[in-house]
Amino acid sequence: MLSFIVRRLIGGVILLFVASSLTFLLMNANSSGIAIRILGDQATQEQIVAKQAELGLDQPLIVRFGHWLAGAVRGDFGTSWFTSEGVLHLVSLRLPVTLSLVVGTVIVTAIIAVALGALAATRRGWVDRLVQVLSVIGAAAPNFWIGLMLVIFFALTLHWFPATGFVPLTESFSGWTASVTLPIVALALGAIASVTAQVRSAFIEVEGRDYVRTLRSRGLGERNVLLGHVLRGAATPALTVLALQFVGLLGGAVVVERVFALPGLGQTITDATTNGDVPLVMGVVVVAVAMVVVVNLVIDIITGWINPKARLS
Amino acid sequence: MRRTTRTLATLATLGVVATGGLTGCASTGGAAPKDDWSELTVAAAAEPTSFDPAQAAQANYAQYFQPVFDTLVRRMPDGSLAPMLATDWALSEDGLTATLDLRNDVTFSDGTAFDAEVAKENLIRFRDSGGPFAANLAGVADVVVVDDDTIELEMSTPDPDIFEYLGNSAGYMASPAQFDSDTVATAPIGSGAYVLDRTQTASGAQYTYVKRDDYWDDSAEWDWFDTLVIKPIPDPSARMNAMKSGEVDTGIIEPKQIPEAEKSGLNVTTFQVNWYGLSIFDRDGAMVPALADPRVRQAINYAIDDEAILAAVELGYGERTDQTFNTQSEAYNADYDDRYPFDPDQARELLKEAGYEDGFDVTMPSSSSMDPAMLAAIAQDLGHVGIRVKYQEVSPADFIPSLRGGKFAMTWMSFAQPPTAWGTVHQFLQPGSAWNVLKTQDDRIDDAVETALSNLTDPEVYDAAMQEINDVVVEDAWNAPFYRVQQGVVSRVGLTVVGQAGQAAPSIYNYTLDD
Repeated sequence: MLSFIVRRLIGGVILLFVASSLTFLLMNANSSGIAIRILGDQATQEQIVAKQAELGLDQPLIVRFGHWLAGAVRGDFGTSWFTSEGVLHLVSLRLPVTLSLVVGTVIVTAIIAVALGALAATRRGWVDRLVQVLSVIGAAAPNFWIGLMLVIFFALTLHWFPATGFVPLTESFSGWTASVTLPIVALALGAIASVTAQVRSAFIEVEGRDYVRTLRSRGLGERNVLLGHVLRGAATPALTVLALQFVGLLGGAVVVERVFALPGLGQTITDATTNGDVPLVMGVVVVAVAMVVVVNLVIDIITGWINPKARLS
Repeated sequence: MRRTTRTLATLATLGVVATGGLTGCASTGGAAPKDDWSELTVAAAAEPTSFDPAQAAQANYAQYFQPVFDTLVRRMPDGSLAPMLATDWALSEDGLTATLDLRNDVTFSDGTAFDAEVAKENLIRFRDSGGPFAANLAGVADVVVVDDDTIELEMSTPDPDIFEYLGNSAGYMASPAQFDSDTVATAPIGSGAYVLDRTQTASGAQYTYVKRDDYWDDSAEWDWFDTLVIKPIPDPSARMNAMKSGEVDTGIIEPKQIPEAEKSGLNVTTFQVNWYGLSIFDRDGAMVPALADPRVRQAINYAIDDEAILAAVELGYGERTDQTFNTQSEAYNADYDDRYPFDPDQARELLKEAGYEDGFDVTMPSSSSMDPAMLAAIAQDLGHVGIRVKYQEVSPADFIPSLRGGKFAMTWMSFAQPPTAWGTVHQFLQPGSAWNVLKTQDDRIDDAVETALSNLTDPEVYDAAMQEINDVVVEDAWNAPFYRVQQGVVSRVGLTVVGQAGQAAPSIYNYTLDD
């Protein structure tokens, strides 16, 4: 197991290097307008040239990347060109917002999707059809639209939740819960729809296997068969799709962050990319890739623990 | 089955109760009165990149700087100037010396005294900083300290708007201690009525300002709130929702949101800042030869159905116009608001006279930040008279740089109308202007500018020269303006907001509580 983890971590470091190299290349492919965007549309040509020199944009690309890499290895990701604040400081402010949404959504999704998927697979009939119809509707409804509907109904009409803003968990648990509930619901509906369909299929597939029939024929209780054996067998595809949801939500939460005016990583990376804020984009990309590597590693370990066969592969 | 029926009945009851809330609730959120006004919360559409006063941006960003930094003169909502850190100011007859008498009872929040030397240091630093508006003081050759409370700005060339600049970013006065600090960009030290509370500030989320006990102006009428919170909310819908729910007290909205705000029971104030229309850069015909002929540019003006676009895109919240000068400026001519009525036949006639009976092709930029309905209407209207528009997609980030780089002959654009005529001339109409990107030069404009600058203390001659410039620009159709759009500001019941001339977001001085 240890060598497996070491191999995955080395792969993660290579992935980090490749992703950051490609991002740096793409971000610097057209850097001519960055100085104008920082200085504004009234800036003179002299000011633009001076700003480009200040940012190091007059140096060759390889030299710029070398400087960035040397700093990043030391943990120095530089300063945002547009907010004048340290990149790590900015990421540390935004990360809790996005993690609140993503982790909350994944937990809610896991609980509800497993329950619904198992229910549909075991009951079949009209329950199964209803779950499938709801899955299709949930997957089709855009999360920004769901978010807007939730705001209109639960925030502006019933006043149960705030319409905008984020309260850090360290400041107030109730405030944090109130501020993330609607965004999590908006994100989770689509995710539940997708994961439920996967869990249902996995359950049906495992239930049809010989060993499950054998267990039933030996008179093992239905609860034991489902929770002790079928669920374990169906866990691998469910975990895989949950991990994909986590990765997708890291970037996909941006629309919901915008609807609820949440200062998360999604909004930050969108603004930074639009502006051409290279240091901030690089910082966010490194953090995001690192999280993806860690999540995939954790999922691999859990999968291996649940299903010993998976360790071999 | 019975359980299912019961569940459905419960859901239906919940729905009815909630729907009742939708239709029958009393004033709530932003439409409800507020008892405690010790804190004012403002939703902003943008967020500053730096608190270094030399790097300060204007317009939407002014609200972030004004609580901390007093300016030398204060711009009133109508664009007139009033005392602030300077009690009096005057321009010499030749326009080459601007004299300011300064207050001598002002201290910065770090205890440093404000005086003429500090004012000089701020002004020179702003001019030499390379900041976004450093060019506004480019004509200042030197700042002379006459005595402790008097300075003279020695100008290399006259600038009629020099005091206007000193009421904006060029006039922000900071403690010299800020300049030497490592946190010059994040920890402002000014003489304003408020200080930025860094412990309650997180970029992207909110900026918190707390009132100073020792602000120099005891009679200031605008600093009635103890705490100011500015929340950057770039998305217009989220901004509107925050105001409707009462989470913020005020903020700017888009014209098409005005009916929604009114229906929600919020106060809505409208004022005009921007003109929307086609900016024609290639007036010498370098890229599109047809555009060198004024008749072709006039034809473009006649071809566009401004009223229809105004109704469709802005729900009618705006005023048709064919000029780019502010209605309050010296150059404004009411007749030019309808100089080119929608007349496709006249457009075709002018094109025929100019030798373009078969029309011509023009490529304009499009961007995801633009309203597709606007772009479609422009292409359709111009297409009807034979001008074939092709759009080239440009990313939002590259849009302005590509225009400034002279890559397009013309484009749809929204520009702020400076409160003074000189503001428009300086930014758009001289060969060296930032937005005269292909350097169009016209002797009539140059002569009128010279006349105006030689008669800065003679309003009659000065105004006539400015109007002459407007004549040239409109009659030669330098651009094809559609309309001046109504800027909307929404505020909670009990709070009145007044718009600021030439500025999208109201100045922080423009909020008053109703009695």
